[in-house]
Amino acid sequence: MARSGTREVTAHDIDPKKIMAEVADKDAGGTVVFIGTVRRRSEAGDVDAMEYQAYTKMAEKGLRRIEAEVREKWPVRRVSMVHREGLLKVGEVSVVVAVSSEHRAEAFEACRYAIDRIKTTLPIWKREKVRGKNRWVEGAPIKSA
Amino acid sequence: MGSVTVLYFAGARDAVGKRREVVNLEGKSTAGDLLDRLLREYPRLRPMKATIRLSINQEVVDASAPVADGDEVGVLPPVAGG
Repeated sequence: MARSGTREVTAHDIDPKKIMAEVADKDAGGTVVFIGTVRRRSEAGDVDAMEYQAYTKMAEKGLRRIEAEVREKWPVRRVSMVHREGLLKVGEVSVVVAVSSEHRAEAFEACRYAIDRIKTTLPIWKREKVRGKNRWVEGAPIKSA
Repeated sequence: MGSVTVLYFAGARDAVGKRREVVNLEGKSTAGDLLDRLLREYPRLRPMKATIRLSINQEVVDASAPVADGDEVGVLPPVAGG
């Protein structure tokens, strides 16, 4: 039976290698890892830092729900997902999604689906610091699951 | 009657000036009723009215959803994770 890895919001640095290792599976022929990082450029200018805020309890429920959705759609082996909260510098890792499966097609599709669902259905916000000013990044109303 | 715990996030937290508070329910309430009360109480929330969504016990709900004693209600501005 395929087992699960991490599904959490964390205030600590994310090590993508660790998340990748969690989805290692001898029955998998492919693993896709998405790594989201803090981008330097924003509409307002160069970003000094990005502060992530999460409704942790709801976001972690959401990660478990997204994994269930993925498993309904694709026969994946293992799934690991972790999202940062707190203050991040440009280039730091904000989110990692790793999916392993027997064949690469479903790993690519499932990983893409999971990160898209993380962005639209999880209660997570970010505030960019640009030239000493703080601004919540304009998102979209949260979608119900 | 009873009460609910309301949690504020992101721009809503800034507008209200607190992370959480306990709100007493006035008779039978829906999520929409509760949001209307919060908008009356906190004028700085009003510009966000159209885009705020509420959750009850960590699930996004419609305005018509009933709110019950002991519920945890989240006031959620547009999200931007990732």
